[in-house]
Amino acid sequence: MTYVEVLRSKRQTVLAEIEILRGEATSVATRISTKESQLHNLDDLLALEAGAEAPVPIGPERSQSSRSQRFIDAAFDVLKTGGTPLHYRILSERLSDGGVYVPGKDPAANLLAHMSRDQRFGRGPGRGVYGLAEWSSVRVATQGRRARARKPTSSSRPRRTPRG
Amino acid sequence: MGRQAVAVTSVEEEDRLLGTCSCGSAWRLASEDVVPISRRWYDALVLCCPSCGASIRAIFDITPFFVPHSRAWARAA
Repeated sequence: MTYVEVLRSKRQTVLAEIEILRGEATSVATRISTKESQLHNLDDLLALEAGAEAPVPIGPERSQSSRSQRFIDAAFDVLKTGGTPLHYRILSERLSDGGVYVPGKDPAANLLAHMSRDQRFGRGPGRGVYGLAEWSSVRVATQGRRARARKPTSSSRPRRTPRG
Repeated sequence: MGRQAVAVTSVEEEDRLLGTCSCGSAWRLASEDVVPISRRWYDALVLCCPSCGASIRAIFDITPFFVPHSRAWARAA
């Protein structure tokens, strides 16, 4: 085996290790986010117990915005800087190379799901190719599709089985 | 201006208010704390999306869960 082959083999090993670590990082980040949300809930309950008004609005409150906002904004910046539509998997790789964390088991698919619901993005020329809505070559997703995708369903949640 | 916890009468009503994740997946319950405060019962929930990792939290007033319907017996009679 030549030294080039050894280096290539080692590179593949390191890439595989990075993928494993990314998977673990996703899992840990999700668990931290869940615990932080539980902490906020407990703070609110303690505030209620003390007779004070709730420190934050009580009721369904999404905590995903800041994290998802970050990678979707970064995707917007990458496309804006590049000036051309990109396949979502290539875009995901560029984000990853730039140190932008995209959560999920399949980060590229997650990125695609977010782009298809964001007015700033649209479908470019070709399957899986996305660009900015402000570009003439890009078609913006229709509002009707988003509305159907967000329609809540009954019995959507398995109940009373807390998982820490 | 403070806000009150949303009063619900059933688990199904909680589910309806929580809906689904913006990625389309169903929420998965991550933690639940049920506590009595000032003669009312509160249900503090944290749910996460198994697909995209998003999370949502909510506190519901579930006191109506424990209040018997005033007309229940009348209807049965």
